[in-house]
Amino acid sequence: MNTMAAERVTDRRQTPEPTVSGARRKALMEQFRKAKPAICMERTLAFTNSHKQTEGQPVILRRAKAFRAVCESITVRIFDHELVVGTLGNGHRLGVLCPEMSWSWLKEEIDTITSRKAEPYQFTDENKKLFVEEIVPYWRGQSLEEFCLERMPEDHKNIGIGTGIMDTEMKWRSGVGEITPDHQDILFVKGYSGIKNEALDQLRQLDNLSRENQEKRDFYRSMIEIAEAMITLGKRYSTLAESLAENCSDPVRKKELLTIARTCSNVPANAPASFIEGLQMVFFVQLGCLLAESSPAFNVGRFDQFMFPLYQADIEAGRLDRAEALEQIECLWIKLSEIFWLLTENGAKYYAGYCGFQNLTLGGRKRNGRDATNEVSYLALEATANVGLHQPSVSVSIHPETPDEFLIEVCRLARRGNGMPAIHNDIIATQMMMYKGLPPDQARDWNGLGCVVPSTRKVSEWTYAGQYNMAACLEWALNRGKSRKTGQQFGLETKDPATFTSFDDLLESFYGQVKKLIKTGYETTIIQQLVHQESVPRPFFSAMVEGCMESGKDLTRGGAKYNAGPGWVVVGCADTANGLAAIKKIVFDQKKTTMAELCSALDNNFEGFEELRQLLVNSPKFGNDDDYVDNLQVELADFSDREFRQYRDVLGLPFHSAIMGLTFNIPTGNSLGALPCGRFAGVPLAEGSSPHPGTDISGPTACIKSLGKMNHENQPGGTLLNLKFLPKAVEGERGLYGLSALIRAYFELGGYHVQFNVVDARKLLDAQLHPEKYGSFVVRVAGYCAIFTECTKEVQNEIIRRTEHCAL
Amino acid sequence: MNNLSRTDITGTVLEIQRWSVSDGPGSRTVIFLKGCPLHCPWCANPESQDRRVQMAIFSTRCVRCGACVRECPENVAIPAAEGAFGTDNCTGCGNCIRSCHGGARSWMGEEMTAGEVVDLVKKDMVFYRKSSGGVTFSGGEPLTHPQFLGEIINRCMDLGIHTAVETCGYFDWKAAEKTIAMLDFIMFDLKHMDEATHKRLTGVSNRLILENILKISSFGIPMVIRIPVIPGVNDDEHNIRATAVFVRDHLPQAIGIEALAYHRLGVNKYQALGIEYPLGHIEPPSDSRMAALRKLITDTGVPSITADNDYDAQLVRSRLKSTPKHLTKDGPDNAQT
Repeated sequence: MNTMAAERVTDRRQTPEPTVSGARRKALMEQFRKAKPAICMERTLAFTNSHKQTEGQPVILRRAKAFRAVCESITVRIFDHELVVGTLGNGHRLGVLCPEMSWSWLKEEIDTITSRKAEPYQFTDENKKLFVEEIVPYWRGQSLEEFCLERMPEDHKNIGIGTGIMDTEMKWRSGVGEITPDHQDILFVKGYSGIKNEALDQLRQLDNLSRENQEKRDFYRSMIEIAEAMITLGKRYSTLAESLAENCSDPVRKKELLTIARTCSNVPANAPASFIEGLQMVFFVQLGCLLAESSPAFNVGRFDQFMFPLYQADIEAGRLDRAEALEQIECLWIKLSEIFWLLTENGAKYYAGYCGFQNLTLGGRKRNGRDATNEVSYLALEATANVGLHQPSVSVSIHPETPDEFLIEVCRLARRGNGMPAIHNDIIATQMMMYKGLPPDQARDWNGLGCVVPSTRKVSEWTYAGQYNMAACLEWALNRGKSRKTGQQFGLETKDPATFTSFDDLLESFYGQVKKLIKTGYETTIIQQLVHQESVPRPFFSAMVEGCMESGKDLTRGGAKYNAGPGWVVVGCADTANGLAAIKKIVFDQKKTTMAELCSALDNNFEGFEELRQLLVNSPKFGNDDDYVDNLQVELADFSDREFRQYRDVLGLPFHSAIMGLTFNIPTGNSLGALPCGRFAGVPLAEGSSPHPGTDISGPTACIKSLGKMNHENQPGGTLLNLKFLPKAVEGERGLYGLSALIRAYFELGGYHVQFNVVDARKLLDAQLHPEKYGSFVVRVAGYCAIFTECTKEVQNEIIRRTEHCAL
Repeated sequence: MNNLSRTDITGTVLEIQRWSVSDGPGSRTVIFLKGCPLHCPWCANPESQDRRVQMAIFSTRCVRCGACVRECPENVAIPAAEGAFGTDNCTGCGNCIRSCHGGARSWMGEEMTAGEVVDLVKKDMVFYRKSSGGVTFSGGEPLTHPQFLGEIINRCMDLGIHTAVETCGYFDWKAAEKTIAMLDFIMFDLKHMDEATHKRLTGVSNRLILENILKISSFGIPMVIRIPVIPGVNDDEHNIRATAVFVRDHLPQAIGIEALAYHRLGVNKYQALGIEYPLGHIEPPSDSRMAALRKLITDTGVPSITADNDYDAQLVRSRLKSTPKHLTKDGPDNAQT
């Protein structure tokens, strides 16, 4: 037990009464609640018009110039009460369409987008017209989507698009996302002026214009465009704030507006000089990310690490008190909640909840291995509790020397029932980063990405290249490669299952199916990486990752100092392990049924086979500390790792595996017939590496023991454990100590991530029936949080279905 | 851990619940033993009262496949959906339970050896370590199984696992004395201070209970006194104050009183056993009522233990200060410092 005090700063001003009332937070939250998510066409139009003028120029330069055109022209707005400012257009919650990535989906969904079941968006008739008449004609035949689909072989498309068996939509219809700006060493040190000057220097140093240097020249010119664009965006906000201040009759607000003007005249052009400037820098960069390529997982990174020096300086100089700092953080949190990733209808099934997946990491260790918790870590937890919205996705990193005091505050926040924060094992995350190829000190400086992925600001990677449905492989092994739902021949035509004479026969067919599916996944990713290199280079992001400026190369070409191979997510691992265990037990150990009878039961979705189904349901299930099935789960995860690891991506880096979540388990489950674990056709699968909902019936310690048996470090794309508790089970300080001890124990066992939903099923059911009563009631969906009432009914049911642990 | 040198005594275990944060310090595994000399109408574990193994029926899980009817040698079994079939002609062979596909019937209670119990307890070692937790014996009345319990505790001591009991205090002191001496922590129920009322409520006098608690106190084992607060039954201020005064004046070893609010979570179990729930008319006490009673306790000068003032920390401190009894049992006192 370590109770060493973290870096805490005492508020020097010692204000007798709080300087901040919480009224601003309430007003901003009210504005947020009233705003309905909408599609904005401002970026789309400016980006398109710029491209019309740059035909024939290098792709990277065209993208940089288009970005600049966007920053020079989109609406700038400062709303009432705001201290941190910036919008993606004229409104609060705006989705950005990137037609260079994909436009076809919106054209297909144009009549349903405002009314569809999952994540509808407002889309004005005027914008619809603009989209159809101006945008679509220009990009037809020119988008990432069309390039990718043109190159993908028919087989890969048949199995990998809209099937629930394999999905890579995020990489053929969207930018990569999945990156963390290097605030510590780049943005908070030199600002965009510094970046511009470096690019100018590099240009000057190019001594000849060889082929290689021509490419570098294009790259550095792009860097200058990007830097100018961001500097301009800041200046426009500064000017706007000044003019608003001039016309403001309220002296308090007038002063605030003048501060905003001053802040935006310094950032993002220069290094932030105060706490508020640091926050504003963070938000400008987030806006830049979205405007550059509307994608998920633009992470804030280790917020407490890069903000603490500014906080300390302001406090010590008496320019700021703790309450003001807290209020300013809350303002940023609300702005981050406005950001979401525009989704297709299919995408909305997987990533429900108007989420931006902007991960923000607290705690952990410094690069020298010492505890990194500081006062800003605590402030950020407090702000998260106060705001209670779904963004940023707060992650905490826990290691053996994390102060107990911090872990208790983490548990206190977790117990509020909003599902925040995601709790990570610093030691395992570091090992994962090392497995991805980073040296130990860099690995230790990891931060959360998207939902539960370990990454760092120094690395460029596709953490989520796609996902595959492992339970489908079991289905195919028991149906000679055919889908039970559609009859399509997706897999290998393996042996007739009725002829299996041993469990090994089954495993052989099954692993054959997995190998083939993984190979298809690998090939699909290679195609997509090539298209990304050619058609959607990433100048904006190359400016904020170390190595690109030095090498003169874009991220897609391997310009970053560190690169890691693509990650593929396994879905339905527990269902597969449970299914294999049930067959092993009932068919081969106890001989209570035959393979032929089992297959016939599956064909009939257990109709007329209830007795057999009960035998299957009551056989060992992952999540109960039972080696019989847990060993299979371990074997499956290790197999996925070994199989991916043999493949290399376009930069020569090894693929890797992950068992994390999002809401993949719903559509993947929908694509499958009955499974031998006793699950009926169409029912959602297990989530991430968690047990199948409702089957972990031996309490949280047994569940944790099962999960702890897995080798998390060789799933460097992340693993995920969701535990749901009834509020009663974790009440009082005792409950907090209980939770914190569970976390410490899970991490000692080598677990990587755990998140809690501490909420009564009755409350969830009530919120489903009476959404109006619950407003912005945030729950953890799967590695990320969303507003419960904005989730689809399927996702809501899924949350309700998870096992509740309750010790009475 | 030398299993061969010890006889493996068996006992009737009702249930083993892994992970509880409200049955002693830290995270605990709770072993429920069957059989209780008291019969409190508010009991949340009615299936623990009878020392014998009983059959529970969960009618909603029944799929009416008829397997139990086919397998019953005495022709008494009926589908669980139709309810219990009584014990008159049942020999307890268990065929109906084993043949049930839906798990609609189960034994409440299982003969287990001390070794089997400890193997299960051992599974959660990492959680005890991280929370200064351990194993808690509950019931039923665990101290009515002194030999079985003693054997389990002995093995836990070898493994360094902290042990605790939840007791109603009604047991044969001579038989239980040695077992108690090995315990690290005791949660002792005082349901009513008045002898006649106690007898009316629970079926037994509280005289033996009060004798036992004074004897336990002399052992110097950390102890929490618990009062189940049943509105209208034992929650009058007079009784609560009398309990607090008794604790203050006679039990220096007690770290405080934990007033536990009555709850109705055992209702389903009564259904499964086919018994009517005796306290259908009583509502759980309100939070404000509980707060008032806790204030009464602290006003008397006794600390009130709640889920908020974790006794964990106090206990860990007390463990650090004094060498646990069992570590000195074979050696001279204060042999080392």
